[in-house]
Amino acid sequence: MSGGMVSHGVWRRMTAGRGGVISLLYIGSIVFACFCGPFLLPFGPTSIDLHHRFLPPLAHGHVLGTDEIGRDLLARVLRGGRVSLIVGVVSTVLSSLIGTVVGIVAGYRPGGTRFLITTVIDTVLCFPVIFLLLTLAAILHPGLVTIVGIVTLVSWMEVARVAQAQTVLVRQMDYVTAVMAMGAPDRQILFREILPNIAPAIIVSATLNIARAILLESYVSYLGYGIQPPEASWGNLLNNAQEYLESDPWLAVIPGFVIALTVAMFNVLGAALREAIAPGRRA
Amino acid sequence: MTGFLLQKLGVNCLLLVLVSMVGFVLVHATPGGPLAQFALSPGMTSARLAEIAHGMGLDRPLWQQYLHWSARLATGDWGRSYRDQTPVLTMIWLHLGATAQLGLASLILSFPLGVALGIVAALRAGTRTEHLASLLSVVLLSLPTFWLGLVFIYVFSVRLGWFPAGNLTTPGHGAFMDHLRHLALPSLTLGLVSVPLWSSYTQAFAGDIWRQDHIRTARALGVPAWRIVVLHLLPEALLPLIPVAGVYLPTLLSGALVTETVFTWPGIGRLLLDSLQYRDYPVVMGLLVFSAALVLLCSLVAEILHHLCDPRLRG
Amino acid sequence: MTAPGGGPVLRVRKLGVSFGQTSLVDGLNFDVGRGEIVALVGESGSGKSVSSLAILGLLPGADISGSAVLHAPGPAGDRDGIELLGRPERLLRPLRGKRVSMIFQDPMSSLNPIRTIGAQLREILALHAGLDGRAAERRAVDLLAQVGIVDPQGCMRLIPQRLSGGMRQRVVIALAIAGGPDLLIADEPTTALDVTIQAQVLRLLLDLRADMGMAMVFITHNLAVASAIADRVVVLYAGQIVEDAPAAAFFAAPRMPYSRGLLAAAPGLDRIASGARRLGTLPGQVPPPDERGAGCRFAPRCAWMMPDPCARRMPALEHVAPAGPGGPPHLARCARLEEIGE
Ligand SMILES: Nc1ncnc2c1ncn2[C@@H]1O[C@H](COP(=O)(O)OP(=O)(O)OP(=O)(O)O)[C@@H](O)[C@H]1O
Ligand code: SF4
Ligand SMILES: [Mg+2]
Repeated sequence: MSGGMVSHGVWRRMTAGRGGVISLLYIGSIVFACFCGPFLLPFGPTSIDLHHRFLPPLAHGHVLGTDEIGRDLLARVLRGGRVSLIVGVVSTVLSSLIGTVVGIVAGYRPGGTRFLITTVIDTVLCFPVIFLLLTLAAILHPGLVTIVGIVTLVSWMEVARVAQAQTVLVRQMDYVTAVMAMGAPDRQILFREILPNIAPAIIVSATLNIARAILLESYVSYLGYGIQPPEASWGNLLNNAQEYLESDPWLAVIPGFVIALTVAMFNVLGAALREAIAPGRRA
Repeated sequence: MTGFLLQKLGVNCLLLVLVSMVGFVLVHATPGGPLAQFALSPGMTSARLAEIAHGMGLDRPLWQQYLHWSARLATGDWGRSYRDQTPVLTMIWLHLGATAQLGLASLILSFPLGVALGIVAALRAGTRTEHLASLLSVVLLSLPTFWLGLVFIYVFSVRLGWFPAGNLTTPGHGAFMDHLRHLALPSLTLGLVSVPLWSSYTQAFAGDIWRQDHIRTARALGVPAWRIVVLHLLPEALLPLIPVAGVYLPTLLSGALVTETVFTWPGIGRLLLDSLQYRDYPVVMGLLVFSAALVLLCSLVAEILHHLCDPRLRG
Repeated sequence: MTAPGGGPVLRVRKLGVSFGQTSLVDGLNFDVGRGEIVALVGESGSGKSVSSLAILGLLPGADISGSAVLHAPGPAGDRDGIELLGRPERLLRPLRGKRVSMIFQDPMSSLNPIRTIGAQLREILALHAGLDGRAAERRAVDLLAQVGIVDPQGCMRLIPQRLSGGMRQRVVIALAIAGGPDLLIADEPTTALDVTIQAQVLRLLLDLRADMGMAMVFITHNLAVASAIADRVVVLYAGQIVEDAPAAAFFAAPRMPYSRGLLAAAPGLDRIASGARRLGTLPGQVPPPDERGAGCRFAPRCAWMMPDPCARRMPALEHVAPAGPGGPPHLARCARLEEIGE
C-alpha cells in the first residue's frame, strides 16, 4: 500500500466518525475567526472606551460585552485566541521535532546515549510542570517567544518517549534487521523504515499536545507570568475577571469557555486520529 | 524484587542530584542572580552589594557554590527566606498541610469517580455508555482548572451562597465544619479535573482484564456479575493503578497551585507564586527540589506498595 | 460405552447463532445423554465455541434462535426440562456451575491470577453448595485431591502462577465440578497442554464421568483426543452438523466425505497426537460465514462433488442406512451417501 492510500484510509475513517468531523470543523472556524475576525470587527482589541465599561453581552453592538476599561470582549477573545493558538501550534511543532530527534537517537543508540537521554527526560519530568513553567517564566523576560520556548521545553519528553519506544520496535522487526544486516546506510533506514513507521504515533501525540500546550499557556498567563497586558491571550483575559465575578461574571465565563471548547476539540481530534490510525485500539 | 528496588533507589538518588543541580542553575542563571532582590533596595551601593555577595559566597566559582549549597541541603539546612529569614524547610512545612488537605480531599473525590467511570466504560465498550463516558473524560480533561474554580465560585458562592469562595477558615468561626466548608470548592475543582487521569488508566486496565478467560470462566461457573466486577475485575485493575498513582499523584501539585491561587488557599503552590513575586530565591530553589523529591519518593513508595500488594510479584 | 438410561441431559434443536446479518451457526440438532461424552469436532471457525457459549447465554450481542433444553436429574418433577435459550440472566446464572459448567482452552488465563486457589474454590462452593468456613475448606481440599493434585492443602494457598499448566487445568476442572453439574462443556481443555499431560487430563475426565455420572460436551480439533474420550462424535463444518455418529462407528467408517478426509489426514489414532495431527490438514479452507453457498458447504473441497445434487441444494442430515432398530443413530449430511458407499 502506498503512503497516499494509507493517509486516504485514515482520512476516510477519521471523517466517518462524528468526533473527527465536528472537531475539524470547529478548529477550522476558530482559526479563521481568530486570524481574520479582528479585521471584520468594528472594535479593536486594545481600544479603550471608558464610557462603555462592563457592558453585558449584546449591548451597544458589543457581542460579548466589554471589560473593565471598555474594551470589546469579542475582539479580545479573538486576538487572544491568535496568541494562544500560535503558542499551542508552534510549541507543539518544536517539541515534536525535538522529541522525535531525541527519541530516535535514544531508540537507535542503546547504551550510554540512551541512558543519558532517558536520565535527562526523567529529570525534567521530576518537576511538576507548572512549577517549572512558572519558575522559568519568572526568570526570563515575559513575552510570546519566551512562552513558546518554555512550553516547548516542558513538552518534548512525551513525544521523545513515544518515538524511542516505536524506534526500538521498528528496529526489531525482521525486515529492518535484514536491511541493516545488508549494510544499508543509517540514513536510509531512518527515512525509509523508521520515520514512516513512527509518524502516525507522533502525529496523534502532537495533536493531543496542542491541547495541552494551549492549556499550559492559559495557566501561565492567568497567573501573570505569560503574555502581558495589554496584549491579550486566553489566559490573561481572566487575570482580573475574578475581581468582577460578582457583578460581571461573563468576563470570566466566556473566555474560559472558549479555552475549554478549543482544548476539548483538539483532544477529540487526537482521539479520532488515533482511532483512525489504529482502529479498535484504545489508549 | 529487592534487586529491582535497589536499582530504582540508585536511579532516584542520581535523579535527585540532577534535580538539585537544575534548581540551582535555574536560580543562578537569572538576570542579576540571587542578588537581584538586594539590588532593588533603596540606597544600595555596589560596594555594599559586593559585600553581601561575599557574605553569601556568591563570589566563589559556581561549582563550589553548588557543592556548598547541596551539602547544606543534605544536612537539612535549606537556607533562609529573603523575606523574613524563616528557614526554607520551616516555610515549606507550614504550607504543606493546606496542600495535603486539598490533595487528599480531591483524591477522595476523583479516585472513586474516575475508577467507576473507567470500569463502566470498559464493561460497556463499543456502546453509547462508553461514548458518553469518554466524552465526560475529554470534557474534564479540557477544562482550565482556574476557570472551573471561577465558575464554582460564581455558582456556589456568589449566587447560591452555599460555600465560601476562599481561604482556610472564616475568622471568628474557626470550627471544623467551617474548615470543611472552605475545603469544599477547591477540592471539588481539583478533584473534577483529576478524574480523567484515573478513568483513562482504569478503562485501559479493566478493558484488558475483562477480555481475559478467567472472567469468562467465572461467568461460566455462575459467579454473579456484581461479584465478578467487584471482587475479580476491580482488585486486578487497581493493582497496576498503584504505580500509575505514584507517578501522577505528585502532578496534582501543578493543579493544586492553580487551585490554591483561585481560592487563596495557603498551600505550597501559593508559596511558590509568592516567592517568585518577591524573587525569594532560596524558597523557590527549595520548593523545586522539594517537589521533585516528592515526585521521586512517591514513585518509589508506589513501586514498593505494588510489589507488596500484587501476589504475582511477591516471593 | 453407551449412555446410561433416561432421557438426554441436554437436547439442542435448531440452534442458530448470528451476529447481525452474518449467520455463524444454523440448524444444530444434537442430544447429550446422561453420562455421555459427546465430542464436537471441526476445523477452526466451524462454530464449536460459538454454539456452546450460546447455549450457556455467554455470547452477548448475538442473535440466538432454536432451543436447548436441560433436563434435571432425579425421578420426579421437571419432566419438561429447562429451556436455556432466551432464559433471563437472573434465572440462567444460578444454573451455571451448578447444573452445567463450562471450561476453556487456556489454563494459563482461566484462573484469577491474584486470588489463591483456595479462595476461588471457596467462592464456587459458597455459591453452589452453600458451604463456608471449615466445611468449604474441607470440601475444597477433597475436590483438589479428586482431580489429582498431590498436595491439596498446600495448593489451596497458592496463586495460579505457581502451578504448571496441567495443574492449573486440574484446578479449573475442580472448580467446574464443585457445584456437582450434570453436564460439563469443555472447550478444547487439553489443546494447550503437553502430550503426556493431555493424556492425564483425559484420564481424569473419564474418571470423573465414571464417579459422578457427569455428561460432557468435549470440543476439540484433535481426532485422536476425540477417539480417546468420546462416546459419540458430532462433526461441525461451516456452522452445520455434517455427521453425528457413535464413536465406534465413526472411527470405523465415517460416511460424510469431510469426515473421511479428516480421518485420513489424522494418522495414528492409537496414540494421542499433537500438533501436525490435528484437523485442518485437509487442502483448502472452511468458507467464512458470509461466503456460504446454497448447496453443500463442503462442495468446494469435496472430491466426490457433482454439480448436480451437491451445488444445487443443501443436503439434509439423514440416517445412514442401514440403521439398526433401537441402536444409536448414525447421521450424515451428503447428497451422494449412497453412491459413495462405505
Ligand atoms: N463475537 C463474535 N462476533 C462476530 N463473529 C464471531 C464472534 N465470535 C466468533 N465469531 C465468528 O464465528 C465463527 C465461529 O467461531 P468459533 O469460535 O465458534 O469457532 P471454533 O469452531 O470454536 O474455532 P476454534 O477451533 O478456532 O476455536 C468464526 O468465523 C468467528 O470469526
Ligand atoms: S453433498 Fe456432494 S459435495 Fe457435499 S459432501 Fe456430499 S458429495 Fe461432497
Ligand atoms: Mg473455539
